[in-house]
Amino acid sequence: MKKYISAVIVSLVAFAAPISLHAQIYNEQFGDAGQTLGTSQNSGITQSGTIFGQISGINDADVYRITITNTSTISFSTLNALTAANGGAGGMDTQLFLFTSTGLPVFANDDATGFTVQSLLPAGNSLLATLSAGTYYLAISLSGNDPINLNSQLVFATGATTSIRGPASSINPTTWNTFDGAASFAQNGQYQIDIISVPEPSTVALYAIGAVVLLGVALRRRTTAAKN
Amino acid sequence: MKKTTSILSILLTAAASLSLQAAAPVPQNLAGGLDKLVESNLALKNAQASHKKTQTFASTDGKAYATQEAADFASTAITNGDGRIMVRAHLSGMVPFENVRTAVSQKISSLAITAVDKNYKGGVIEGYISVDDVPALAQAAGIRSVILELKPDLNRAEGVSARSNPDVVPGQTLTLLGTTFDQGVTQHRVDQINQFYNAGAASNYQGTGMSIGFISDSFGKTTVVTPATDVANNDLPGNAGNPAGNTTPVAVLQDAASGTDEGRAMVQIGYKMAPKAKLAFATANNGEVGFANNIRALAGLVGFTYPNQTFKADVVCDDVGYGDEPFFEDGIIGNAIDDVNAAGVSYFSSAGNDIGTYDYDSDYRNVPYTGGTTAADCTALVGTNINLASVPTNLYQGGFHNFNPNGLDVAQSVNVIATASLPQTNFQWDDPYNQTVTFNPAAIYTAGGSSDGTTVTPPSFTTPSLTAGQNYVITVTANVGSSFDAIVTIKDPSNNTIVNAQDTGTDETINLFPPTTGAYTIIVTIFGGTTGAFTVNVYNGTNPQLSTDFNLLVFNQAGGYLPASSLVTNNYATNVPFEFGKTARNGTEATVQYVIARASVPTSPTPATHIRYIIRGNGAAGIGPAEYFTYNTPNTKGHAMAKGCNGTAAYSVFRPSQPEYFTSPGPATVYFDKLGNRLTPPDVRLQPGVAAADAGNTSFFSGDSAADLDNTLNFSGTSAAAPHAAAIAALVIQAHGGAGSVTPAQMTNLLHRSAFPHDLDPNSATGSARTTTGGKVTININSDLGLNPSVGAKDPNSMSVSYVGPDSLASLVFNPAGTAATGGNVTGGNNGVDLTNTYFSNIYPGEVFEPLATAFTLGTSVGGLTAADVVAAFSNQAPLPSTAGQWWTMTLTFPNANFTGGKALRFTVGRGPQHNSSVQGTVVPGTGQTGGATSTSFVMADLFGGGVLIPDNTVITPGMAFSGTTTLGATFGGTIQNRIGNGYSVTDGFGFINAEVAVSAPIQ
Repeated sequence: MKKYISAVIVSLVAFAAPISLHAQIYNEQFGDAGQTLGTSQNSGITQSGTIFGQISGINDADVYRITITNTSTISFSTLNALTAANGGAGGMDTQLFLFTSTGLPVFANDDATGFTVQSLLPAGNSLLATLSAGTYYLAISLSGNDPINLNSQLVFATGATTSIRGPASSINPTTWNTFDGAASFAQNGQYQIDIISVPEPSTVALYAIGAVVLLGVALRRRTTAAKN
Repeated sequence: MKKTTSILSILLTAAASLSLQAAAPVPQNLAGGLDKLVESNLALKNAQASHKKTQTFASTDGKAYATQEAADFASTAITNGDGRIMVRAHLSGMVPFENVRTAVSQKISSLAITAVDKNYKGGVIEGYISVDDVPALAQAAGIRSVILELKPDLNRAEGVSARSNPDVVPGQTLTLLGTTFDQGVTQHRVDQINQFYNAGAASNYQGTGMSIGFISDSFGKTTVVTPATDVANNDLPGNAGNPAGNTTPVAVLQDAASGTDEGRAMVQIGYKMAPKAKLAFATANNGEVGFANNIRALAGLVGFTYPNQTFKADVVCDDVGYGDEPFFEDGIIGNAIDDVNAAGVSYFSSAGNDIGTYDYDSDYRNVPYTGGTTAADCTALVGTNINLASVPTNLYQGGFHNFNPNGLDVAQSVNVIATASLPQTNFQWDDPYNQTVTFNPAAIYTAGGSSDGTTVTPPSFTTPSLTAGQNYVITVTANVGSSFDAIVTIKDPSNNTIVNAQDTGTDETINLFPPTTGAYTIIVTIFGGTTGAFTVNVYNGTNPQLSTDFNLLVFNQAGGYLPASSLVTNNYATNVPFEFGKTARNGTEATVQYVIARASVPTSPTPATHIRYIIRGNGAAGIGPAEYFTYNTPNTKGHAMAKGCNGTAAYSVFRPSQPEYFTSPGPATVYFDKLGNRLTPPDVRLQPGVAAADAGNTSFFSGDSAADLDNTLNFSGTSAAAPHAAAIAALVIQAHGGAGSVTPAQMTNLLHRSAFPHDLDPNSATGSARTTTGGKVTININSDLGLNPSVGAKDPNSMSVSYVGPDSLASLVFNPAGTAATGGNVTGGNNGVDLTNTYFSNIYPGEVFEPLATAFTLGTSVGGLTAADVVAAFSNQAPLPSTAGQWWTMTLTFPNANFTGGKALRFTVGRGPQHNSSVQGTVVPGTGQTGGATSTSFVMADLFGGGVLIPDNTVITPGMAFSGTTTLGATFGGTIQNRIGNGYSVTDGFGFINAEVAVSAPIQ
């Protein structure tokens, strides 16, 4: 029995692990990464890697240029210990935003789940998955410090803090300009953004099938054992 | 070709049955209710001829009509006093404009042309006509459609709230100009740049050398206070002893036959804001073309000026809208604004007084019709009680709109007023208006036929193969000398009828988008026994056309069809994407169901994709969608959204310093260029662009507000805001060097940069707090005034609390300190009345909770929270003027410890300003804080957050405080806030104009 459970665990671990074997690490450089497309920093990260940086206060947002080679498999998160260590209990209340190379909003998230104020832009979301590979801009800010256009309109739709939010409708211009500098909480400290390339859905399906088969075998054996 | 009365009588039965199957004496190309007036006219004449008694319905014009619908539309018609009505005839473009004008002038004796526009689409002829002659006009060669000219809507607010502010700044003496003081002068800080009012002002801009034009209903038609009295009292310029030195009387280019003189009240505002400016007035009452041409006349455009008038405005403003002005493209009046813009004239128009929850706006989500009449046998109707059994299939067979974006619901409950003041519903979609018919003149198919009065030979014609999705123009025209009047039906290659018995006039023109490739059959039948030869032609079309015939079907709450309340014109025939009319009858329905359906599946490759209806309320209560509403649904429209127009929102001169609850939200989305070509992407225009004052004093207009100390009359509505903004524009031009120194585009840009900071998320306020164990509590309030009976405090989802983090919420306390200073509503109150304080001081009036007005009620919560999971308690009785049961503090406790992370509680409760500071009796110094009354109706979300005091420009960020605990003892606390800043907001554009800043702002 135990060995089958172990097999399942191995399978699930493989499912969750990044497939990149060459983790790219970028540290915020030359002082503060800007909060506009023009003042962003080029992280040099392609598809997977880690960004380390620092939020200095309610007005600060950092923007990084990245390259996405597969828009269906990439995810972004601040689910890590570093923000917790710097933001007090629960960590800094981060937000993550993704923009196209021309500054068009793609998707955004404030709180990853109902239990954490960290952030997650998940893989496979159609807001990104339907776009082409290429250059994108990833932004991080404190909750409430939101990206706006030239006329101070929010470029992302509003919604629950745990929702994945897409572009706002009926705004002009549609492109992001800067951040409004109105974070809800006066926090500061270091953050870590994990950029992970998860397996393709077909690969995931294979893992899932493998897991089900193993579970089935285990259950069948247990049933057999019970009969015996 | 005129039809005889006998023919009309014979066919009346068919008309009465409302069938579109047979030829009708009522042409199908009549819009705006004109078809109902013609139908009624024919019915009454028929009854008279046959000596039969028939039921009639009285209208406000004093006449009787055959149907209630006709009586209702008659009340909206513009008449000239001798019984003729004003109509607008739109040309097809197939006959030269002058030929059409000459022909209809000569042949239709009752037609008195009042204005023309040769440049709008195929051209427009506007004038008065006897309803007897409307069919002849509609069927005249070259006429595409005829529209009833609707009485213009004036944007004077009818629902005026009582709010308070001083007439003048305590401690600062301002010179009085005339008999009344316009508080807009102080609110816009004009007193800081005008040395007539304030000798200590640092600059002096009074409008010297400027000319301002005003457009509204009338100028000199009321007698309570006449224009002459206003001049004598210096409430208007022209008096030889005018204290501002303005001895030039107002130039009246054209006055209306009658009116309320709202225009004169606007002129008064312009005069009080810019006392030395030259002023002129022209009416908007004489139809859309007349209105548009008066815009050009005030700007002095060649060809439009009046004899013996030399007025040339630097700035023009209006406060009028016509009901059928487009939502999604520029119309006749918008084009006039573009014209005067090009001549260097800045333009301002009232944004409108329609609350966002009066209307519905959505992308069209089609649910196909697959047969059946109820939910039992029609999949589209699942979840509704709609019964289509008595609804003609050809009104909905093209599918239904799904109101539910996350499910299926093709019926929407809508509040209407079961009183005499029934509003009209104005339903539009993104199709081009009044498109002309243009095609490659080389016909791809030509055939001839003839009629002997009973038989057509041949009865049908088969086209060559037509390509799916392309535009073809099919014409069936009587040959020279022939009197034949055709009725045309078209069938597709599978013998399905796709054009059913069209009979708009003598000749028929059909824009066809073949749904499938193949040969089509054109069936020609006879109208009224007419005879003669005719020709059938098929051409390649070259102009985008109206793609979709929508209908607004109305049902009662039991699902029964209400045909008289449904709006079902044939839009292919009317050539306008517009349905208009009353959807309820007095005393019969307070709530109905709207079903939006397509008459047929559009064959155009680019069918309409967006729909919107507005129930025009003008600040009235009781109307709007009961479900699927959103706060701030955009509805500013028509020429107020023209590219060069400064659509103007309103702020009351009384507190709180927030946009008026009724001001029409934007933005505007324009889907078409002036030729009807679809814009990709659509042009999102940030209208309204600016905000200005309303509710200030005038000498005669229109009702006294309880919010000020005087008994003079206050003028409320975006109507009053537009002239304030226009006058500031004149001061800006003066400050920058005079006429021509600031282009319209520069003016718009400058005013956008010269506004007070403001709330960028209107009708919404948010509070966030972190718990000591790392969780986060978020409070959201979304609410307007709640005049729609399903929104505001009556919306059980208008307030919410959500939680993210460990543990679970144990308590949440709103305003735990129980004080005014921690109660929000930071720009409200009547502190100006309190003479012990300076005007620029602030006393936080705070918000109170009023469970007696609206009990604490749960809405649709997230995560399974139920009424058993929350207990609401109230404490800290608020002082006078609050009464028992109006509390500073609301405490929510969660006894079951299951308000865990990821859950949200939605609810509502009565709330309102602790005092609204309407003036109560004699003002005694020191009583300001307790003056007024506690409001049970001002339930807007924004009152919970921070604000910006006007005119002192003080930004107050925090609103109501809140705090609480979690089950394991963590604590949290925060304040509810608005998103204050500079930029565009949907209700008040770029904000309330600070004239002191504007006159010194650089041109960019």
